[in-house]
Parts: sequence; structure tokens; C-alpha cells
Amino acid sequence: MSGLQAFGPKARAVTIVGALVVLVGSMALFTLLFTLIWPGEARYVAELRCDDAHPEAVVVQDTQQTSDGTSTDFTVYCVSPDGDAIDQGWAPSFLALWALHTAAAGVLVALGLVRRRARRRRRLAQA
Amino acid sequence: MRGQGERGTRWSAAVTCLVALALGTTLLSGCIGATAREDFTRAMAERSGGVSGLLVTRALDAVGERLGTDNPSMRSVHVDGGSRTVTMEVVDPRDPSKLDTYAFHDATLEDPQPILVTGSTSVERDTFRVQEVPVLSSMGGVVRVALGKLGIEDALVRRITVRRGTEGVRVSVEASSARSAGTATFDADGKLLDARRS
Repeated sequence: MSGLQAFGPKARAVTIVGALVVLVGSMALFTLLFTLIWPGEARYVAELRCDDAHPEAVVVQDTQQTSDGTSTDFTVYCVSPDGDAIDQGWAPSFLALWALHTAAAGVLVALGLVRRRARRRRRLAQA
Repeated sequence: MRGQGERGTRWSAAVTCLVALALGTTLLSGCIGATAREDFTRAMAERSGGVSGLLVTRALDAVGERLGTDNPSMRSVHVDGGSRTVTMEVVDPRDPSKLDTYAFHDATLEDPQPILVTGSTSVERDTFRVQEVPVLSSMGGVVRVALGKLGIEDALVRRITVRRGTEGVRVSVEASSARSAGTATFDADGKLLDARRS
């Protein structure tokens, strides 16, 4: 017996939920920092929400000087070939990126766990 | 001991990644893939000459939706190229003797403002149904033709007015640059009637 199997079902459930909370929380922080470096990533998820008349997504940056320093806001627009722009805000794109990053990290963690378990099984079989 | 060592290495790797991300955030903040507001505004104006035909379509759709009709009756449609605001004088479908002003800006239709209708005003004579004026659904083409015929370098559309005159509904497109200005006039079908520099 090893890892989570050493605990009861309740402890195992608590551990899994805790791990999920840590994963989702850390991905929120990661997405926040990552979109500050590469806000253009939001274009790719925003374009899924743009209609046929406004097929192109553009991330627009507003920089303002405040008493605390410089503040930067991002807004996503869906624009038409003749320059009509529809404001999509920032939150929907951010939430979509957060979900996407979390799913990608979840897949990586799951693959890591499967690989670790397979290695452990091989080691036990050899012993 | 070995497990603890591995765990310590993983933690230090995670902390290093986080520090690198924070450092990257500070150094590169907003650098990749975002367009500055001024550049965006300029690019959109260059694409359309200042006014997109879809802006008018969206404004008319918004009014139609608010009034529950796809063919509202109007006295005028004004498009301000600078603020990208469409202002419409619309007949109240519940009481055709009343007119209201609706302003559409930034995808939002504002609440109607009442218009004073005096005894000399004939609401019925001065108004038109949206579907009677096919050019309203192809304003992008009208803007392109107007800018082409006026031939003003770096011109932007300042104002578009749609109103019923003595010879039917007329669309006037006013465009200007820093050095020159002009007006092009079209009929309800979008046929160019006149284009002159002022």
C-alpha cells in the first residue's frame, strides 16, 4: 500500500479536493501573470465568441498614469473588416484562459501521476 | 532522505519558475499581442474612413428590437464619425404622433428622449420606414463611394445624415481632412447624386 491508498476514502477525497483547489488557485495566479506578459493569448479564445460579421479579435491596451504608478487595462474587441468594433470586455476571455490553463495543467499532472504509478508498479514487479 | 531531497529540488524549481514569471511580468508587461488604444482607434478609422456600415446596421437593429419591430419609422438618422454615435429620431409605434431620439454608442442603445413636436411639424410627411431605404443596410459601400468620389487625401467621414427631403429620402456624407472637405449625396437606393468639395 502506498500514497493515497494508505488512507481511508474520506481522507483520500479530502486530499483530491485539496489538490484540485491548489491546482485551480495556482492556475488563476499563473493566468493573471501570464496574460500580463502575453495579453494577445486572449485573442485566440475571444475569436470563438466573435460573430461572422466581426470575425477578428483584437486586444487593446489602455495605460494610465495614476498616483500609485502605471495602471494597465486590457479590453478585447471583435472587429469587422470595415472597422466596426464590438467591446467584449476582458473577464470572459480571462475566465476562458484560466479554464484552458487549468485543463492543460490537469492533463500534465494526470500524465505525471500515471507515469509515476507505472514506474512504481514496474519496480514492485522487479522486486 | 532521498525523497526529501527530491521534494526540495522540486520546490526550488517551482519557486524559480514563479520568480521568473514575476520578473517576466515586470519586464514585459503588456508587450506581446496587445495594441495600444491610439493605434487601435487609428487602424479602425483607416479601415472604414471613420464610419463602419455595420455601426448603422447595429443601431437600427437595436432600435427595432427595443420597439418590437423590424421596420421602425424614423424622421432622421445621424451618424457622428468622431464619436461613432448614431442618433435616430424615431416614431413611437404606440402613438405615431410622438417622436423620440435614440442614441446608439459603443453597442449600447440609450433610453429615448422625447422630441417637441409643434403644430407645424408633420410627423407623417417627414418620416420614412427603414425598409423603404435600402441604402441603410449598405452604408459601408456608400462611405467608400463618397470618399472615392470626393478624392480628398486622408479624409475621414465626419457626419452622415439620412432624412426625407422634397424629392425623397437623401443620404448626405460629409468628409474632411485637415486641408479639405466635401459632401456626397445619395438617394434611398444608394445611387450617387452629387459629390462636391466645399
